[in-house]
Order: sequence, then structure tokens, then C-alpha cells
Amino acid sequence: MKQPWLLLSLALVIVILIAPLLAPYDPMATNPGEALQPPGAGHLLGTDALGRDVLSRVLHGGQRTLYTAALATVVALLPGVGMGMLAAAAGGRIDAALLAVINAWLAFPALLLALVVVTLLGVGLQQVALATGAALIPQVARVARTAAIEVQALPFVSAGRAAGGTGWWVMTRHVLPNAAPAIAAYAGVTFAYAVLNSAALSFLGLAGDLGVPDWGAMLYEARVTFRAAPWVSIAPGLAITCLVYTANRAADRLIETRQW
Amino acid sequence: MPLVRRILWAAIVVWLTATAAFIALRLLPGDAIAAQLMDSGADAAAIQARRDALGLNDPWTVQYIRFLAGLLRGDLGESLNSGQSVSELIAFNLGPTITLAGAALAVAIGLGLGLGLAAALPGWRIVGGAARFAISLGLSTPIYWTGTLAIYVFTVQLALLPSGGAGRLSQLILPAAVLGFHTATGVARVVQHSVQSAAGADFVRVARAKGLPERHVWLRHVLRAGLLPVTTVIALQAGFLLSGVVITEALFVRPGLGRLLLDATLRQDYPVVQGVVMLTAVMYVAVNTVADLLNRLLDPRVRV
Amino acid sequence: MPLAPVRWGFLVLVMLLAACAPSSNAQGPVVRNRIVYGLTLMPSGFDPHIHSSSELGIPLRQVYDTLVYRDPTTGDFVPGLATEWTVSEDGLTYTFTLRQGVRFHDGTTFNAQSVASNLERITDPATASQRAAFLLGPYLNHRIVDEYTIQIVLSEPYSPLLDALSQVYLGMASPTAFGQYSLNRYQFHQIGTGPFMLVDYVPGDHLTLRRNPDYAWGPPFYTEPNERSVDEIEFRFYEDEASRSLAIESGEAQVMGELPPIDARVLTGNADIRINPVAVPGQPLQFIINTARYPTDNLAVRRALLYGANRNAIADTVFQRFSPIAWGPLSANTLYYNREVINAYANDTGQALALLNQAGYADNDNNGYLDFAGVDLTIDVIVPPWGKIPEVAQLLQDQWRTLGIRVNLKPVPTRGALLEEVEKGEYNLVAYYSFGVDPALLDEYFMSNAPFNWSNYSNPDLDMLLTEARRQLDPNARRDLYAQAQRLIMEEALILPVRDYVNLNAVSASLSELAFDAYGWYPLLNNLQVAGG
Repeated sequence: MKQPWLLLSLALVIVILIAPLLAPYDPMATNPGEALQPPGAGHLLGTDALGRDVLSRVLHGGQRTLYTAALATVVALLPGVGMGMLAAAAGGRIDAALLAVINAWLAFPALLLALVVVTLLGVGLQQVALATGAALIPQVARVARTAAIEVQALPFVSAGRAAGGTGWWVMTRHVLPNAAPAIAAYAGVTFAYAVLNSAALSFLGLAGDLGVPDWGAMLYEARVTFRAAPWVSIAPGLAITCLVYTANRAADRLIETRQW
Repeated sequence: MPLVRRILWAAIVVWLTATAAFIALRLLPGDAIAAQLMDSGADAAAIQARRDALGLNDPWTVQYIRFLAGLLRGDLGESLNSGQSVSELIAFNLGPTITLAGAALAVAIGLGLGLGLAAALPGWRIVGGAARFAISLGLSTPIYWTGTLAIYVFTVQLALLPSGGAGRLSQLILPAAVLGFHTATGVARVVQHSVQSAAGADFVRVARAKGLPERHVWLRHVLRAGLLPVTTVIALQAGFLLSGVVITEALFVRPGLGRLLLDATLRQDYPVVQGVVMLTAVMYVAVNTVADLLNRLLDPRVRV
Repeated sequence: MPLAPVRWGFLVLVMLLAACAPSSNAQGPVVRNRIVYGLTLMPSGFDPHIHSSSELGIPLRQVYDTLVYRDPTTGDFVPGLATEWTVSEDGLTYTFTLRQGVRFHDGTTFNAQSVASNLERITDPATASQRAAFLLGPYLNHRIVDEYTIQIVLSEPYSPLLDALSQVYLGMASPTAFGQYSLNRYQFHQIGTGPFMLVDYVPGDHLTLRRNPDYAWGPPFYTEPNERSVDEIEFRFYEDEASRSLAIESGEAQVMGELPPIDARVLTGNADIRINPVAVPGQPLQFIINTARYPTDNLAVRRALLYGANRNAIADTVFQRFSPIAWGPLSANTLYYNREVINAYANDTGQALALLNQAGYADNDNNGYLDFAGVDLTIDVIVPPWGKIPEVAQLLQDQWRTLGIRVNLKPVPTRGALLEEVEKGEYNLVAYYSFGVDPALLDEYFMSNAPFNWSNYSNPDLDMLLTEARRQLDPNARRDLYAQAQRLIMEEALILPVRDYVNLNAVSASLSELAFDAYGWYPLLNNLQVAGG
């Protein structure tokens, strides 16, 4: 493959997966005597409020963050795109009914949704990813619907229908590929939101596993020490920025290569 | 869609959301009363008596009917924690929310269109690259950071702007700018991509082949088609801004629907959550209707 | 440029919105000295008779007088709206002689009928009081003897009555005022007799007090106002922790409560700001240990947990040495604190291991954790997200891990969820704290049939001690009984005390005479002065 961004994102994923092997310290080992040390010898990225090595935590944290955000994005994309396309294709009453459900879902508070998920399924990382993704479904659906409607209005789609193609065939062979750029663009946004929103839920304790390194959770915990010890926030923050940036660019490339 | 039908569907959305919230709240463990009386030395009998008086021990169906009946009378009930009427609580918090949302949305639209176009237009190598970077940065940085940094620079160090509160224009500038920037990046990304894909579309090539001037091609064709999904995203962002941006409100010390909802959810204050959720539903319907109408304006072929 | 119209539109929009934005009016007499005071929690309601948050007391302590006050230095009861009081032999009837010439902010005269109306309002079931009514304990009824004498009758002796009557929740409000407004509207128009009047309250935004020019009946420790006294105070809400230090540093607020310990540490070097730590009496931050569940049903295990906890490290790291370590069920400045508990279970890992070994625990399978009968020694801890409890819990988890104890942290997002988790009973430790001066607050947690007996400890001796101490009117007898109770609680290792609550206030150097009352939370703003110069 000649696409640098795609290679880069693959490399990033690999790095995230093997990073824990490079960590100099146990990321969970607290060390009260050395709390909030600035970066220096012994701790390349400094220590956090409980004396834990920031570098080790960043190296370990990628996995959880990647897993949660990816899962949440998939949870948001699949039903979201499906609903959106269905609404666009069906039109009429079905479209109006689906729109009503989507609007109601948009208005439903994400936190309440997360609390219900956790009540019914217990605390855990999957539950947080599920809750985060579920809250993002209606947005994806709205964007997918609009994109699909726009494409459907184009002449070659009606041509496809006139030629005898079934609705399903038209949707997948014609509408979806043309609506894909807009959807993919929003998918990048969705991924970014997934990272940050799941962090908020982890902070409330809904992911269980207090203290386990996770970039989003680390960012949230570091809020209070942002001024006194900025390195505790900057390290996971930069890591998240890299991840989201790479993911967005890779998504761009994936779509662009399909353009003719 | 005719007006009557729209209003009917809007009512259905509000009812759907309210019912979902009603059920969700009662699924959660614990309740507001026990939490309220935890520090006071109330015994189990007193807690039960309080619950009875508020009707919280009645079966869900009874509570639901009472809730619906109240709605029909225009009565949203009273907060379980403060006793204040829910409509009043909402009214207090609605003003600052709308003000902030409006200002942030204006920034978001302006900045979002600007950044997105800069990132999409061919021939703008350096500026385009910078715009793309800014967009990704804004998307992946938590508003908490930018907000705290902004306050630190503009309020503490430069003493240029107040850090919070609601009621004066100067207090609006920092939160609107910060919130607007973050909202803009979501818009910008979609702008960038729709414009890029519209630019490569067949009908644009046709227009060029016809010999139309470049500027005409862009304004009448590319932008028109490219902005369609953008109105949808702007509508979504408007919805988020209106439903309350908790972190911004907390950091910039502004009252707003976001904090009201967060507090009420964590304290399990059923009537307040139900009331705010219904209001949010109304706002989303309104905002999405405006977006759909705009879309129809932009491209009459599109079925709304 | 196609973007120009958008930019213009943006400007117009912003200006339109600015025009519609509500503005705060400053009305009334010329105010010379005005400050902004930062509150931290947004209580859900502001009526002291109805609501229970300590935050509401901060502004309202200045609006209401109480029948008696506690002297902030000695803690003794001094006259407030009552000039003298007597208690009947059987401890059931308290007779209060009321001060004459006192008027509410709306002009109504204060007399025995006012007190009666207040008591009726508080105890009326329709009021649904969340705290005030409970503070009155076994209150039976009142009796008006004459215009300035009133009796309060109890159904059993209750020593904490005066303590209750000195708290803002039992502040005397104008019956004319609360008669005029419905139950939940009164909080916006509160009328008391205090040194400040409530001018304005916008929920979630601000609350403004202005000095009462006619105030002439304060307790002995209130000073006369002078030209440097603060006339007007605007309270604003700073719920987000990071916004607090930003506001005090930028000068937007002159007083800020509950600064995060790290920010307080950073600001200690700042010449324009003084850090004023105030210890708040009550139950310290502690972990209540469940005696009904394995393995903490074993006294040796409980003691080992206490010995194995390095609380110095916790106080240093999480609380930046601003909080003293707590050693018993009461904070050091709570009434009848038993100094004997100091250093009980001081950190001693050797002792902890010895206790566990004696109890039969050893690392038989060499996995780093002690075990017994093939099962690792595991304890479950319920962790709510407030009060720095997650940080404390994580430090303890690590400390006990080195001992060989496996610790599961169970986070709960809300108070309701915490209560549910406790109901289920599947926990060994649960974190909690509360505030108050009178140690009768121990009753809710340590009596066998208490609603919050989370340690599930049932001991008739402890019950008897606490009941007697509550009924006993003689301070020395009470002191002795509570001393025994505290000793018993620690001997049985029912709790792991962590730290005394300290409210880290930041005060602008331009203010002086900011003192706090005996309850720790409530500032006595009557004396507050703007520094000269």
C-alpha cells in the first residue's frame, strides 16, 4: 500500500498493543512520596498525584482507550447508518416514524442512558463502550439519512431503480458508496467524541477498575492538577490527539481512494 | 410535510422521550429521598413516610398516569430535592443556555465554515494543512483544557476578560469562544469532506465542461451540494449546545440546563429530569425542522 | 468573499443576544465595601427549615439569628435571641426568656409567638423538613408562657437540644414572611433578624446579602460595624474545582471555600492570597468496616487492616498535609473527643502481618496474596466519586497489596447507588463522613438499630453508652460516656478513620477578621473587614 496515513495508523495500533512491554514501571504502583514530580531522571514523563509513573501509564493506557473508542464507534456506526439509510430509502410514514425515534433518542440524556446500561449490565469497560456508542447512534443516523437522501435525488439512482434494481441493491451498490464520504467524515467526529465521552463515564466509576490506566480516564483525573502539574494532563492528552488525528486522516484516505 | 402533521410528530417525539426518561429513572437503584435524609438522622419509617407523601411508593403505572395528567394541565411537577416548581427551574436556566448556545453556534458556524473550506479548497496548501491540523486538534482536545487555559491566560494573567457568570456580554466572550471553537471543529470536518466530494462530482465536471466560470461553478454547484450534510451537522451541534454543555457551564460558572440536568440525574430528581428531557426534545425537533427546511432551500430536489 | 455575510451575521447575532441578556441591577443605598464570596456546592434548596445542605448555611448564617449561639473559641452556649434559659429537673422542659426590642428585617416584632410559629413550620409534616425537624429530636410541643417567654417540651431527655437550636437550620424567620409565601417560594424572600438581609437570590447564579443597619442584638462575639466593615456580599457558585483557584487568583472572588489541596499548596506562596484552613468537626473521612461479612467479621483482620494502612502517606499525598490524620470516630475538634484514640493503630506492617498470620493466613500458593483454605484474602470496598475517596482507596489498595491482601474497589456513581450497594451487603468497607459539633451524630451509625449501621455491629453496651450520653445533661457525665464509646469503637476496629475534614479557604489579603463559627463551615461575616490602607 502506498498510502502513508493508512500505514501509519496500522503502525500506531501495533505500537499501542506492544507498548506495555516497554513500560519501565508498574503503572498501578502508587508511590506517595514521589507524587507530582516533574519530568526528569527516573520518571521521563513525571509522576501523577499518587506517585505513579506517567510514562508507564501512557504506554499501558492506549489499549483500553483504543478498545473502548473503537467498540463505541462500531456500536454507533452500524445501527446508525442502517437506520439512516432505511429512513432515506423507505420515505413516507416509516421515515417520519424513524425520525421521531431518532429525535427522541437525541434528546435522551447520555448520562442517564449510561447509568441504565450499567444498572442492567453491571459496571465494566464493554458497558461503557456500549453506552457511549448507543448515545452516538442517533447522530450518525441523522447524518447518514441526509447523505442518503441527497444521493437518492441524483439521476443515476433513479436510473438504477428504473433498470430494475431492487431497493436493497440500489442502496448498497449506489447510495451507500456515494453517501460514504459524508458518513466517514462524521465517523471521525464520532470516534473523537467516543474517546472523550467514555472518559467522563469512566471517571464516574462506570467502567469499574479504578486506577487502571486509560488515556481518557487519566485526562479526567488530571483535571484538578492541571495547573500545578500540567505534565500529568499533557501526556495522555497528546496521546489522544495523536490517536484521533491519525484515525481521522486514515478515514479520509480510505474514502479518498474510493473516489473516481 | 404539512404543519399539522409536523406538530403531531413533534408531540410523539416529546412523549417518547418523556416516557423513556420516566422508565429509565425508575430503573436506577436507590432514590432521592433516602439520599436526602442520609445525614439527618431520619429512620426508615420517616423515609418511607416521606416517600408515601410524594407518591413515590405507588406502582409505576399510577405514577405515570399522574405524570401524564400533570402534563396535560401544563404542570411539570416539583423538584424532589428543592421543592421548586420544575417549570420555574427550567425557566431560570433556559436564558443563559440559549444565550451561550446562540453565541457559540455563531462562532461555530463562522469558524467551522472557514476552517472547513480552507481545508477543502484546492491550491491552499499551507493554510489548508494548518486548517486540517486545527480541526483534528480541536476535536481531540477536551474542552476542559482549552477552557482552563483560556481562563488562565485571559483572566488570571492578562485580566482582560471575566472568567464566568452570566448577565453581562463580557462574561459571554470566553465561554462562547472556547465552546464555539470546539463545536466548530465538528462542523469543519464535515464541511471539508462534503465540499471535497462535491467538487469531484459529475455535475460539477459537467458545469465546468459547459464553460461556466470557476467562481460560478463553486458558488452555485459545489457549495450548494456540499453544504447539505453540513446543515444537518450544524443542527446537531445546535441541539447539543441547547441541551446544555455541562463542562463549559461548570468551568465558566454559568447556570444552564446542562448542570441542572446533571445534578438532577445524579440526585435522582425525577420531575426535573423528566421536565428538562422534554424541553430538550422540543428543542431538537425545532432545530431539525429548521435544518430540513434549509436543506429544501439549498436543493429543492431533496425530499424533506 | 462568500464568507463575509457569515461574519457579519455572526456579529449581528452576538449583539442581538447581548441586548437580550439579563443584566443585574444594583439598587438601593450606596455600598462602600462589597465582596464576592465563592460557594462550592449548589444546594438544591435554600430554605434552612426545609433543606439540609451545609452550603446554604454559609450565606444564611448571616441572615438569621438563633435562640442561642456557640462561642467560636470556647464552644460554650451564649445568649442569642434568648437571653437566658433553664431546664426542668426531668430534662423535659426548656424555658427560654427572649430578648426584647428585636425586629425582623420586615419590621415584624420578634417575640414568643414568632418562635412558636417557627417551630410549627419546622415540625409540620407538610413542610417535609430534611434536617431541622430531625435536629429537634424528641420534640413534643411548645408552650407560650408570656410575650417573651416560651417553653419547649420534649418526650425524653435530649442533651443536643441547645446544639440544635444554635444551628442555622433552626434560625428564626419572620412568620409574616413565610406566611406570605408558599413553601418553596419563601426561600427567595427570606426574612430573619440577622446582621445581613437577603436582597436577591437567583438559583444557580448568585445570592446577595446587604447589611442590616438596625442590627443591635448580636451575640457577644459580634463586633460593631465600622467604615471598613463589609456592607454587601455576593455569593457565587463555583462547583468545578479548577474554577475556584482561577477565580480567587484573578480577583473575581475575594473569598473561596474548599480549594483543592494541591491548588491550596500552590497558592501558599501567593502574596495576595491567604490560605485559611478551618477544621470542620463531625465524623472524619473514614471507612466503616462490615463486621457481618467474611473476612472482616474477624476482629484480627479488621485490626490488621488498620495497622496496615499508612495514613501519613495519604494525608501527605492526597490532602497535602492540610488535614490531620483521624484516629477515632470523631474529628479532633468535635465535642467530647477522646484524646486516647490518638495513635491507636499507628501504621505498623509487622503487627498487621503478625495478626493475619495468627488468624491463619499465609501465602501458601506463592501468588503474592495471603490465603486460607485455598482462597485468597479479598476485601471489597465501596468507593463513591466524591471527597477524594477514589484516590484514598487506590492508595489503600496498594498499601494492603504489599501486605498480601487483594482489594476490590467497587465504584458507585451516586448516593442512591451507594445506599443500594450497602443494602445488598456485599462489601467489607464503605467510605463515609459527616459534620456536626455534638457527638450524638454517632447514634445514626453505631447504634444496633440505627438506619445507617453499616458496620452491622450490635452491642448492647455501646447502645447503652450512646443512649445515655444523649439523654444525660451533665457535660462531665457525657464526656465520660462518649469517651468510653469512642474507645469501644476503636477496640472493636469498627472503622478505619482517615482524616479530619479541613475546609481550605482562600481569602484575599485585602480582607481581615474572617472568622468561622464552632461548626467550621459557617463564616461569621458580621465582623469581616476590608483592610485599611
